[in-house]
Amino acid sequence: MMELFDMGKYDFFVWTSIAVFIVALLLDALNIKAQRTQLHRAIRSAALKKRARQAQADNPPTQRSDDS
Amino acid sequence: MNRIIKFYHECGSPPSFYRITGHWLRPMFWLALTLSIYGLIDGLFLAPEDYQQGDSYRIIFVHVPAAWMSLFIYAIIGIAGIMTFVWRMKVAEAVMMASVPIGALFTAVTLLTGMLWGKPMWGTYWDWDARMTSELILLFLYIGVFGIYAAYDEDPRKAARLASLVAIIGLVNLPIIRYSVEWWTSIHQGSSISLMEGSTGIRDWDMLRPLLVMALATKFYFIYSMLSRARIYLLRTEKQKQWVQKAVLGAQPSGGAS
Repeated sequence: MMELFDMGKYDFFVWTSIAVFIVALLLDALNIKAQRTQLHRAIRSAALKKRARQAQADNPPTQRSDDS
Repeated sequence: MNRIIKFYHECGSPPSFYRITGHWLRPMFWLALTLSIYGLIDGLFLAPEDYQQGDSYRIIFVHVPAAWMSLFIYAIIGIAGIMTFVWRMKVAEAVMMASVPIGALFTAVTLLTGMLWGKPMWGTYWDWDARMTSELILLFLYIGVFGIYAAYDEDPRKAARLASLVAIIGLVNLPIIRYSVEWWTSIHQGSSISLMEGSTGIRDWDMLRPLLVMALATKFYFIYSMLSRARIYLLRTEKQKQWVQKAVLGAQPSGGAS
């Protein structure tokens, strides 16, 4: 099995290059996912706040009468 | 022909671009992943050893596709930059700015893997040779386009137009990189494959196949990465518009990360 991964005296150079390539693309994909999640969350929470403000404007809170 | 023109106009509108490209992301990602896995296995384990460079030549399967992409993506940025500057197309702005991170990443991968190939073959990690220096300048150009956009945060549309100027001026570097090994004496080897002359360096199909597969894989990954970021760019810059609310809230009414 180890023979398969043997690159002669170039082990370090070949495997580090492959690792650089894979890690770079992995970081890119993760960064995209994180940005998308964050932005969707921000848009969603802004919309919820807007909706709550609108609801409050449509039905202003009445005087509480539960202590009578 | 009419359908192509109609498609082009449709893609010029942010909501249509967002809707249409939404269907492409998953296939592009899976194509890139599958082809990368196949290409790397083929290149690292199945392709024969080089008679001169031994196993060290296998770095070519990541170095050359990344180098091709670093130039190809900059050309896309330049074209999108011209469209941004001349026609002020919002989608072109998005494509331009969305291509910068992945282009810079491929350029950095090219430089790093080139250094790792240079050490065993040339005896040095770095030499201020025409090919290496012009590729390093390309990385600085990517950083320049991004930096100018980020520095001007008052108006993203103006920032994009300023960034597009840098992108257009930087186009001059592309032929310099491409022909650097021919115009100047260089320790860097010549092209492995040429569009006009076919395979000039690699003659064995078992070596050429993984290289072409990896070139395709990186193209598909670029499309995935660029479209994903362009969609994020459009959502961010058009946050107040109705279509953004519909696209985000309509897709996931009950919440949860995507």
